[in-house]
Amino acid sequence: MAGRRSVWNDPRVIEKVKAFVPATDEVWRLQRHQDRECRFFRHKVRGNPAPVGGSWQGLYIFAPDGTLLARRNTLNPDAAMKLMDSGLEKWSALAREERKAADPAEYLPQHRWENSMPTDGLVLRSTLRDLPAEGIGPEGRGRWNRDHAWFNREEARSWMPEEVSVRQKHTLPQALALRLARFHVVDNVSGQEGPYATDDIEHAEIEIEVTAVEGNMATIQISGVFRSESDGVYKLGETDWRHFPSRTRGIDATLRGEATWNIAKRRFSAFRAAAHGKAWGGSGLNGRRGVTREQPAAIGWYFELVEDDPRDRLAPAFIDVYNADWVIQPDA
Amino acid sequence: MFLTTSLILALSFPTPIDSVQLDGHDLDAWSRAVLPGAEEAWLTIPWHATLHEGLRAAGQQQKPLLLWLMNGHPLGCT
Repeated sequence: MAGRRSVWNDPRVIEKVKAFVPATDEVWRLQRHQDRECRFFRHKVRGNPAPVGGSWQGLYIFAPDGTLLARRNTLNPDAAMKLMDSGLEKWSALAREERKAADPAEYLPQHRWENSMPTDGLVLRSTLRDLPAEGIGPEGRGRWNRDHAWFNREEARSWMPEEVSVRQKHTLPQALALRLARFHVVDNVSGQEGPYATDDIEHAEIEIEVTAVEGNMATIQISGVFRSESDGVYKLGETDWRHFPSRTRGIDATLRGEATWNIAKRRFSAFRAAAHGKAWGGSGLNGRRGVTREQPAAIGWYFELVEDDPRDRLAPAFIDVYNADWVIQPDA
Repeated sequence: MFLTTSLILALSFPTPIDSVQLDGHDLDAWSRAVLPGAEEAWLTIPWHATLHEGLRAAGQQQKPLLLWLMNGHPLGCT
């Protein structure tokens, strides 16, 4: 998390990156899963495709055929510069035949959660940020993080009342309000946090009202309340999150939003919503210190429709526990 | 696309108006307060979002691949 600013905001690093193809990915899956892409990665890093524990977070430089040229885990921009120089030196020493591309059949993934991204549903980019109690001043803003929330076509339609006319009111189906509460109104501002279980959700309710209809476009106002509290006991069964530290924590937040529904196309043409609230407790891995029920952190969440950017194809952090039948599982 | 991203980032740089206390009802103020701005220059790097997409592009462009890995996706929820 800290590497975002300490390394990648450095102008020297940004300039040096131009000599490379820059890419990012999530390391837990690459270390542990049996997918072809993960096995390729492990084979290239240590000559053995077997799963590996610990954490292989960090920076890697590979030739296009997957040959590892350099590797280091650092939050220091000077060290990152040295790593890139070392990688470029090794790259320039490679013979022409050593620069050939890998055969995609060696590394193309058999499964990625991104393959389940709804193409005709509702895909939201979620940004959350600490909001200092004294307000947003010139000294800078609080830490932030990002995720995505997915709803397939039928779920997107269920944000709207059956009859789309002015003053119609509607309650979002409980399963979708719970999806937001368990997986998206979560305090992962400062680093990873686990999902909430259904039993942890004390209140999750979203109300919708149609406020205008002009031609095929219907405007809705959205309001919601989320209250979650975990006793620190993990309740989700055999998932990757079983290994994540589970501790007492809670959220108390309200949501306001507005959206435009295209009646003819049966999809949203605009959608934005903000939640604000307080969070306390947590895994201890998310960089929080001293955030208690008595002294909670103030957080803002902002949800918006994604744009045409490959980076908005990233799957929700908790997609593996969405429990939606349209999400393709790794062993399907 | 990335030029557009850069422009959006530049336009969304925090301004003095961000010093208002937020009450959750002004979505424009919320977006200015919460969304990343020009201070997040690393977002202008044209990252590929997966290992396999990066590898494919490295082969096509004949450049070495620089791969940044974290627990939780660095461009998503890390």
